[in-house]
Amino acid sequence: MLSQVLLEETIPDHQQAVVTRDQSTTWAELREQARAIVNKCGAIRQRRVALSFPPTAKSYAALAALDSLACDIFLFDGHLSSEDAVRLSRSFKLGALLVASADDESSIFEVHQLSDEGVWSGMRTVTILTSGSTGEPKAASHSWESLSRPVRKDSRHLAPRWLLTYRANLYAGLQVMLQCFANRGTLAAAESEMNPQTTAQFMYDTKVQFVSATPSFWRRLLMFADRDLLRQIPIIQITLGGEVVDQPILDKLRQHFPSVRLVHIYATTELGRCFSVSDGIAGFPSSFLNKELSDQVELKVQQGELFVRSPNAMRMYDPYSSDRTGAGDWFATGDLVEEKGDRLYFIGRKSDMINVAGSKVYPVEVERTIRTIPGVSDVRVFGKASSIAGELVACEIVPDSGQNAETLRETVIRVCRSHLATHQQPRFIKLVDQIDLSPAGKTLRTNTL
Amino acid sequence: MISISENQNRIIQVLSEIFNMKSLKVPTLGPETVLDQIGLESLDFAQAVIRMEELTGKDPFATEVEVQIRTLSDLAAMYD
Repeated sequence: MLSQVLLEETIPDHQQAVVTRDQSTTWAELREQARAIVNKCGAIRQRRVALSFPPTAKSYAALAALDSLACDIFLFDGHLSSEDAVRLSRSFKLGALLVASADDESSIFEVHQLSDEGVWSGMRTVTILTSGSTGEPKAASHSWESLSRPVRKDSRHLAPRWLLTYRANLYAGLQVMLQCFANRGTLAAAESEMNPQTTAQFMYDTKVQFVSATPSFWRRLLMFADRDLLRQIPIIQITLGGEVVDQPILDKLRQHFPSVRLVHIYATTELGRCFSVSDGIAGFPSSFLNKELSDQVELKVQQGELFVRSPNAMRMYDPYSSDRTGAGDWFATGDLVEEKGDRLYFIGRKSDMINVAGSKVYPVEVERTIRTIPGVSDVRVFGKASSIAGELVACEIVPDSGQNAETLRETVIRVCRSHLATHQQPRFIKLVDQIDLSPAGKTLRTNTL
Repeated sequence: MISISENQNRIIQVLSEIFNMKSLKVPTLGPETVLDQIGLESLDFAQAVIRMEELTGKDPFATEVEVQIRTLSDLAAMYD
């Protein structure tokens, strides 16, 4: 799919394909890079290969090249250290790992060859890694077909300019890229480190027309960035996703961008894109249930939980991952919904997941890190409601007797900072005498400090 | 001598705590400090809002009011 788009000749060569803050790459250059990688990496044809995937032109060139080489591709977060990337590659029995070399144009990628490789699927999969509820990464294997099915050709907007705000290696980031490239557009890749004003300036400079982002992204932008600057960005469509979309954010966006098409989308890594709503109202119409929606997606609600059957879903979990459940037929989303009038609203997750500004945090994973610290007797991690970020991570720690409270607190902060991603790090740490359990004997996660 | 209001003082305290927690040098903070320029990440800001709620019993962001904040005193004024 991507290789056809990128290696095809019909796109104007001089047009920008990928724009970042420091670099602009034309379609001709991207095509050249992709061809160079195909030529250099013939040895990894039809193999299981990991690609470290920061949001740069090189990454997209490499993705197209690996598609053209018929590889099973595993996308790794661009922030992963090379030791972790190698370790992860081994755990999935991959044959090679491609990491973009910093600035060296002559050899665009370092290829780490690995041994003891698993069996190639024979059908060019693209596997997305997300953290699972137990902390083990889940490896959702899509095909190029399942990834491209939701992509719409839009004849009204030729060469659209899309803003990428999602992580490039995850489902939403791939969708934005495919939607953009399938329409021969320009992808403006924002970095998550950018502050709101810089982001707004970047959006203005790149003249983005399509913006796909979380509600948290917009809350922050509207709060801190210069509104006059925001109004001058030629936005045609705002697509919200990744978190529950509430009415206030929809109203606020409508107010600031009166003529923009406002869409919110429901998608998951495993199920792919399920449905979208564009009437500016939170939730979705009850009439969506129990019938075939576009892309032949079907929805039903059982005991308050949303179930989906979708041809956009992944093919399966990778056979070498710990979770080997097949994609199956109906898929329990874990999202709880409530019917009010003729509308269904999302009310929360069935699981304990904490949603920090659109990023998933699993308490078990954070607890595991904190439990390794000497002096910690017990710990419980839970989400604390935030009007800004949805939730933030909080924890209660029972110290071993005789521990100095301040020293322990400092150690916990230090260890979490070096072992966990920013959004996973507890922002609130309370030392307590004991941790309350639910009647079933499970750690309570829902109450607050 | 510039006078600092009670809520401005609380915000300075809360932000200092957050910089300390991150082992970062606490920048000079005053009413005219531009919040976008002191290296405050979005989650740091979310953390500050929760801490301010603990100190004042108020969360002005919970109601999704229309606000635009530039300086520390703009933020403090929301708690007044």
